[in-house]
Amino acid sequence: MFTVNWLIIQAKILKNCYAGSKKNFIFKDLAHGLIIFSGLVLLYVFLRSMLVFIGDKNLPAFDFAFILFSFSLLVFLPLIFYSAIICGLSFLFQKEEVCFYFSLPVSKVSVFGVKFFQVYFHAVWMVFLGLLTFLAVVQSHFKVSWMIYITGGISFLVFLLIPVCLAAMLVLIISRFIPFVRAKGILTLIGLLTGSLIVTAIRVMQPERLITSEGKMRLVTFVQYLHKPWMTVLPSEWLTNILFSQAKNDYNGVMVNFLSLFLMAAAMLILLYFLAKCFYAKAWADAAILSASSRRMPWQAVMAQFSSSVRGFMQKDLITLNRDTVEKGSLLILIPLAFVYLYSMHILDIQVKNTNIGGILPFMYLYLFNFFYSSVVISGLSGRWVFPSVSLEGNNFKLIKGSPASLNDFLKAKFLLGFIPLLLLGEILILGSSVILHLQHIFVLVSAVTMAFLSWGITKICLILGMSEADFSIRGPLDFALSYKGFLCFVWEFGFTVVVIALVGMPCALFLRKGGVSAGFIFSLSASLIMAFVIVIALKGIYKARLIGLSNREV
Amino acid sequence: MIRVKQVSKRIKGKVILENIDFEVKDHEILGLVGANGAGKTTLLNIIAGIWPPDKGCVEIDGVDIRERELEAKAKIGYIPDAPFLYPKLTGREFLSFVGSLYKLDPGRLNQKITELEKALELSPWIDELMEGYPRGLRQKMTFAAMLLHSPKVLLLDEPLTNLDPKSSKLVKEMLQNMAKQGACILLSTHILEIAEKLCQRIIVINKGEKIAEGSLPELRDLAKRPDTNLEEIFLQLTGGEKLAELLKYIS
Repeated sequence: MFTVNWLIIQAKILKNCYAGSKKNFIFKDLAHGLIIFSGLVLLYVFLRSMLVFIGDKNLPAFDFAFILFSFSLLVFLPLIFYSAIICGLSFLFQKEEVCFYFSLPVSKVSVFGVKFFQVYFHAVWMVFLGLLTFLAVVQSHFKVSWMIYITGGISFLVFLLIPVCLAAMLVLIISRFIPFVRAKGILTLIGLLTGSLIVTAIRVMQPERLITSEGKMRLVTFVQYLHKPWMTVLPSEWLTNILFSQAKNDYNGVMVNFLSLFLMAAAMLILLYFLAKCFYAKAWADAAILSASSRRMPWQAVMAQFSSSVRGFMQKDLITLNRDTVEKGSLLILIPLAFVYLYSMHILDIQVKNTNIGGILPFMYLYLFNFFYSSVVISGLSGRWVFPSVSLEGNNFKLIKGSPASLNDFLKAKFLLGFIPLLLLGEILILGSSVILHLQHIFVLVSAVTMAFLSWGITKICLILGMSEADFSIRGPLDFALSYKGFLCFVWEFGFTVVVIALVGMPCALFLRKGGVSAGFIFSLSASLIMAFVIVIALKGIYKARLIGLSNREV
Repeated sequence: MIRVKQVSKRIKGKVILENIDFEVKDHEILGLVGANGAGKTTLLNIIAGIWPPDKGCVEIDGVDIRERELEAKAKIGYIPDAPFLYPKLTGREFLSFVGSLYKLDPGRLNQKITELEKALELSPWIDELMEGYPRGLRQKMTFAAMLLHSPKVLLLDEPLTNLDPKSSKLVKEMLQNMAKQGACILLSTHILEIAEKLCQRIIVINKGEKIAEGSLPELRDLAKRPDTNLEEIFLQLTGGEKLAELLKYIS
């Protein structure tokens, strides 16, 4: 009864979200949906092209699909398990919502049930869509009956229950011994690092080679020689057998494997039910009462250079960041990000050199693309960290407005905390890629100066837009960064980047074409410097105007 | 009636509550007063069945809340200090949801919502999304949700916080009427004037222990301070000399 009412309420919430702000819904949800749909279409096209390629080579496509699916599921199992642990730690221990449910005449196991449903949905929805895509490839390529969507879809849902149930059981057991806040922080950090390493590894493997025939053939050979696990108790094997028995119209095979999958999932659910009945209420209560501990910060000496109010604001933000394990952990992604960036530039350099195009075009393409690529990275990070920074003050902004510290000092602190790290990262990326591209010293210097200007401008734009579009009711940075306002911010950053690239590109192109300093080069350089100066003045002017707006803003 | 028998709660060796024992009778408003961190919210959460005690038990109208949880909770209306409201639901949708969980039939539920809408002056807002509600209105909405099923036992944690004077008076009168009609009400508050005026009896909690219980005259006798108000009694019972030193330091 509670579960049904809860589901009805979730549907009403979705309806109200759409009714409340159609523009936000269309941009945020529909646009994100289109991005995900595009990814699935790409996956479909890739898999289908692989099967067609194998068919053209007169190789057994069915066996290839079977082994690929089986091993993909085996790899997905631990990933879903891990993802479900993180989701479990997030959803099962929500304080106010669960406290509200517990105060009602509703059994605690029912409350656990709805929370488990949230965990299940959030942990598996993307994998489910990916599996459906694979199903669509198998159905369309091997001309299988449409029934496969029904048997496959239901089997996927049952299969995905197994790792999620295991994860929920582990979360319940862990939370009896380790405070859930610390467990969540540590596990999220491990997940971020592992995800970063996986992305780095994928980049190093150069997946773009799979577009070529040679690359495809190597993948086919690799998959064919994979040693198939012959343990028949793996749920991934049962699911694979269900699909491929259906494809061969072997309904006995379908029933036997489906029954095995279903019984295992049912056993997991029953075990989870008993664990939840014994552990959940106490684990939640202990988590709700727990308080965080504080830690001392080491950077006080560096701060002494700034005015007391700027120092105060910066210290506050740094302390908050340091105590949030998840936010702090997100910064570690920058390391593999830098590595992937430099590696990509190395590959691009080789590819451009292999094209045998003469003149200044290849050099200019690489040189300017480097700025564009690094700007995209800086823009993304700035949009994530700087753009929401004013809004994330929330109701505390009233305190700041009412204090004798000026808003300018407050914004200066936000700017410095965004600009300095982004400048450092930007210079590492641009100078590292300059070494890879074997640039002359003059071009390295121009790169460094341009990067400093880009970092300054992008941070300033994000701060200005963050001030003027401040929404003090947001709960998390991504809510704001991924909204329509965040998109607008990215558009402005993109525009700024294009202008700067044009200002740098013109003099550089003229310098290279004429083989040195010329009248055209001097004119172009002067025009670029004047334009840069105008941009600086304009941004400062807009900043001042927005500062007045922010000081009059009601919270 | 609420019966709390020898309830204790510890977290990681730290005593939150120690041997708390008292009763709240029907037709009575019992005030729970104490300093910040004394254990008032923990005690209310235990009585509401949200947190389990380490020792002792709680009975609601003779029903042990741990053994027959759903039966006991159906009798309780609880307002926490930090109420949860779905930001993307309207007030009416939220009340309908809560009413369905208390198994109220739709006709009776709609009638009750209409009554509470008028009584608590929710009308201009009840069909707006709760994310836009001011704080006082959120508190009133939580009140309305608690009163839907006409509970006989009310647990209130700082119920008058954020309410404007008119709403505050309204709520006080409602509580007094409900007590007259047979409800038993346990009310936790920092505002001692409210406890003094509203409550027939008062329990003073300090550092997880019950240090005093009784009506205002009884507390005066206990503190040996006749003709004084609850604030003076409270300070004396909970270490008022430290406050005097602090005031001396500030001045």
